[in-house]
Amino acid sequence: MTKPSATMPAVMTVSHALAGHYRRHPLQALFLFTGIVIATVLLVATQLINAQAQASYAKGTQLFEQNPIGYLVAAQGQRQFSMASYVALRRQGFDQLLPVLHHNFQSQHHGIIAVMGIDWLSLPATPQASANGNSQVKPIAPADLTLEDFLLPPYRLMMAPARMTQLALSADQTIALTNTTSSLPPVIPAPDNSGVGHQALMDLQALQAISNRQGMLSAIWVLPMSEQRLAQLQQQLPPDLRFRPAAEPLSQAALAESLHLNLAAMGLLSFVVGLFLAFNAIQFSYTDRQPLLRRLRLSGTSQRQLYQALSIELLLFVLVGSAVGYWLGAWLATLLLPGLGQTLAQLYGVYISYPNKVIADLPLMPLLMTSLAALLAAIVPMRQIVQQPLLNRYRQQIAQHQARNRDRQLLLVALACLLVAVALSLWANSLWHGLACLALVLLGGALALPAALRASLSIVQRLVPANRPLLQWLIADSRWLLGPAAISLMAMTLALVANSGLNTMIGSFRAATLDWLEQRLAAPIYLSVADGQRQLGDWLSQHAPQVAIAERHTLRHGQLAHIEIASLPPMAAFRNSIELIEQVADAPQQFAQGQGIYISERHQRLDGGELDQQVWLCDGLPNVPVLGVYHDYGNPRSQWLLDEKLLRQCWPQHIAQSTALLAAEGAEVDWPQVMTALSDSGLIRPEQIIDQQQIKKMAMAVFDQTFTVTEALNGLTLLVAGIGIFCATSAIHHHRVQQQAQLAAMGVSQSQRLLMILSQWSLLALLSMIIVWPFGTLLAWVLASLVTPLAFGWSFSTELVWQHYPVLAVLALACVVVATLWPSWRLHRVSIASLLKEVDE
Amino acid sequence: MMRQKSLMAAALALSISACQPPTSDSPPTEPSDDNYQQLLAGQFGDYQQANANRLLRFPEDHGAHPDFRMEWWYVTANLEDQLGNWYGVQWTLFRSGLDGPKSLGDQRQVYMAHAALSWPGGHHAMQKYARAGTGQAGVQNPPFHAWLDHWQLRSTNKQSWLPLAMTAADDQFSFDLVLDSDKPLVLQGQQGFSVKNTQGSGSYYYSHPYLEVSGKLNIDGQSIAVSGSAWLDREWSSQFLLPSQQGWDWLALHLDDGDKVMIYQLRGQQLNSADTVKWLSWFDSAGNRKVLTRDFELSALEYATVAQRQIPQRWLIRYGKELTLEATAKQANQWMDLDYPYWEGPVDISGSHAGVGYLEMTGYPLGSTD
Repeated sequence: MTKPSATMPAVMTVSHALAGHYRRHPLQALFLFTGIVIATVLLVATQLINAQAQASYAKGTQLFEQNPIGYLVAAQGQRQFSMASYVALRRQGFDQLLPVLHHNFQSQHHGIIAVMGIDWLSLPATPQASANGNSQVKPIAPADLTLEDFLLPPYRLMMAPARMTQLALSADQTIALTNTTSSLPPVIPAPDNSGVGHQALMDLQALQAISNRQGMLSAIWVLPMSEQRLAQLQQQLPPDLRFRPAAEPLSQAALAESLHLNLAAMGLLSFVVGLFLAFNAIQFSYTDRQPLLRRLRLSGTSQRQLYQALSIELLLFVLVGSAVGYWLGAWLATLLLPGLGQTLAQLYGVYISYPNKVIADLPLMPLLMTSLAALLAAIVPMRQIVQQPLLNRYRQQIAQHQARNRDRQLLLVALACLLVAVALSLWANSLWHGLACLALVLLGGALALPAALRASLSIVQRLVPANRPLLQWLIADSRWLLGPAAISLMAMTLALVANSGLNTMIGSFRAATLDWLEQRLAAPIYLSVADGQRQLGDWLSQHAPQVAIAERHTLRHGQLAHIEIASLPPMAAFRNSIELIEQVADAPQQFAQGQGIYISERHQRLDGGELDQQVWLCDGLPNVPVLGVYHDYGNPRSQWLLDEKLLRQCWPQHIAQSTALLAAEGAEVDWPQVMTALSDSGLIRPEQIIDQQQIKKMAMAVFDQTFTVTEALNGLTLLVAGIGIFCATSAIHHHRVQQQAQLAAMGVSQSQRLLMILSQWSLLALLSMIIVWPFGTLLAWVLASLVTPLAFGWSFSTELVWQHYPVLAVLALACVVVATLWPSWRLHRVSIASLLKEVDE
Repeated sequence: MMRQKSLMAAALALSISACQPPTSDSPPTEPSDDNYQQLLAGQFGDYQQANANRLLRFPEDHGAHPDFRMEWWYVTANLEDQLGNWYGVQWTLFRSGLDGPKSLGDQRQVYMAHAALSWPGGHHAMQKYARAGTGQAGVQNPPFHAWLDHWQLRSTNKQSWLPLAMTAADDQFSFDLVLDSDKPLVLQGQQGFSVKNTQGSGSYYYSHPYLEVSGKLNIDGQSIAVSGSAWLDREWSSQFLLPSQQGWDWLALHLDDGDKVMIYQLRGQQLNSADTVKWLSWFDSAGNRKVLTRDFELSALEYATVAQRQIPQRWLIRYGKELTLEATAKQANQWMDLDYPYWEGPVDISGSHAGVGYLEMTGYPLGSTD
């Protein structure tokens, strides 16, 4: 044991000497640092947004620190009800009630804007005070806002600052709407305690006017009240309302678990990419310092002191890199949060709040992971360099040999990964399995890369004529280049495979959803009429007998709250619109006779529903069998589909949420004329009419927005990988000084040399496609056939997006070319003499 | 903060007696009650001004006057149970016009209600808000009916304004009272126009000080039968205070001989400045006015610290040789700790006459000593 007093200064001196290297080569420090930042940043960002969502679930729905304990909603499942019911309850003395109206606007430039209208004066900002109680008045809005601003034209639209950033809106801007000349009120940023997230807030009466839903409410929030009072409220509810308790935080968290897991997986992917790059940088910095370390050893520094000094150095990099990574990650999280909120809102109808600062407490996990991973990544190269023979003459050959061995070993690991992946894909029954399979495919692809490149280079070399020595040398040298370049190329491949896989998956899913929508939207016209269907039917039979009317019901199962029950109108057009994935014999006939139900794929995959299983619908009706399974894309809830007559047997009073109009069998309908006549009759307002195209457009807009956060992360991974590769390639070029000098000494001109370097790297980038293309497609298949079905219960076939392949190749090329040009240009400014001198060092 | 301002805008306009929304040249309003008086002083928007040329008409004027910015229906009652314990009740509905054009109709009207119950050793204040136009709050007339949620003041008889049923409640406290009288209401100021500042602007103001009350209180689950006297004030205007006026002191006194005295003082920056306006009106037991004067003495004799403010607890009122009264708060803790806080509670009268009454004081700043 050395005495600490003697050791510490010695270690400091060694550290100082080692750090001197970075003073001469600051870029190398930057590259190592960048790798660590990249590893941390997305990991932190995804952890933070997931944590924020979890915190939101735990807190429950909140508005200005008011938590509803439940909601009063329309008793028969209608989307809205008259405000008169609310006023009646208020006048009976139930004052802990907050009336709200939800409306989605389609804007011209900002997509779908979800707005919630509230009555500001019903928000109990101030608790009732008593002489000995200490009440506090909580500020609920920015100080420069007056009540008039809110309640009177032109009104204000209060939006979470994060949502404003997402929509690129600035304060006081107005949002133009489609299909109307009107626009939404000027936007103002919501204060931090508002709890506002995806939905913007505005005055209830103003929203009723703008959305043309005068006197209507979507729900009444029931704010905390005594159990006795709540019981009284439930007793005195008018028949058109029913009480629905607020969702348990746990159930919300469970609902969105898959999504969060997917996000966490993307964070991990970026972590792995960053790790590859950090490893790469560590290796270079050690290799570069071989002579220095040898000299230090010769001058009496112990191996232990070297380990200590190198570990301190690594720790410093990890700490500083992580600090910057955390800071960037937190910043990124504020940008990504609205994307997550949008997905949650549209997929699950769950609204999380967007606080201005997402850092409640910083997750420790990324720091631990980065430290551990950096240590593991450094341990082998550190050992190699510290324990290197003091006299080392055949570095080159040894390095070559080592690289070949390494590639062979990596290939074996890759094959093992793929074997396990295949096994997992066969037996996967949880999302974890799916994600593990995904990770193995990704890793397998990346690890197989060096061997695949080496093999392809040998083939290319055989194809090159022997009378082209420079070309022969170029290929041979490329194989040498593989040694140092393999890891950064692997990182690039990882990012590209992930990118290609996700894009192919999303493209395939989009195509499947579009097909499915085409097929399911059997009627050309949909009407959002909550009541008055009878008059509509009467009017149609009188004035347009060629038009058939169909009701559309959806409701929750009485006992199984996670099951949604929907009706299928008893018409050929609708019956034909259901394509069954699996079915029992005679399924359509039995279904039409109300002798069984169909279940959605999600119910089959995730809740264990199966054909021929007997299910309970309601009291007084015998159990009925499951007859078939159908796709129900985009629905986060499991659904049972019933023939309308069967639904009526259980729920005779249920009121349809919407109505569809279609041509009666064999009839021709002049739709514009019928619609005009219908509007003129006063039964329907024009804005209640939605045609099929509009629904499709709306549905696809929702679909596209649903993937906002995934695509953003996907793009970011590619971006960070790009930065990383740029760093790694630059580092390698520094090592190529020797070759450059030799070539220059042999009389190869500068432009020839540049051309050679570019060709070498382009060749490697293009050859990487051998792995990227098939593995990208494989990954898409895993996502489409394994992960998405396990996460959401939707399966779809993978579509090969061929046009995507050249894009990836161009991307890879651009990445390496840019990364090559700059260091090459730097090299070229240096004279041959000084190049040769560097070789001597 | 918006809520506060709103309130202010909403309420104050009203009256607790007085306030006005911040104007651009007034200092930025912090949501502390210390400057809520500023709210009362504004005149804005598309509203009529009160003037001495309009004669009050009944029963029409019991109803709302939406062309004026602020208006209130204000009842205070001095009550006793069968054992002789005292109780105090306050019921107030404020209507406030927001700063928008007349064409907005009900959309520019908001309502605020305050209610309070006081008993020896206790005080409970409640408040509510609502917008006009939805049916949640409003004033219909005739038959007269003023309400916000389930709090209401309404004629129980379709043919006449009186008797009035008055209720307010929250989970633990409520009152349910009937007010009646065989005496007439009285007009304050000049034929019902009450000057509120030296520039001559003011409000329409009438009172019914002769109301007899009976009914039930519910204090923390205990039902108590009570009876006593009530005083109803009705006021509407578009501007109550000047920006320079800080707040007001108001007394409604039931003298033992059946006479009624109303005193108010709008305090300027300095108590003796020109901005300070005070009036005393004295009615006999039959409803005839005996005195209307500015020439009387009103001074605070004793203060107590309430809600970190120095608030008068005993007032001396002296008018010539006929009237020398001391009005003493039954208890100091009558703080209305609401969005718009103020002091309001029952008083005992001694001196040339005995009796009971109600005292309201607004605009006493935090930590003030005067």
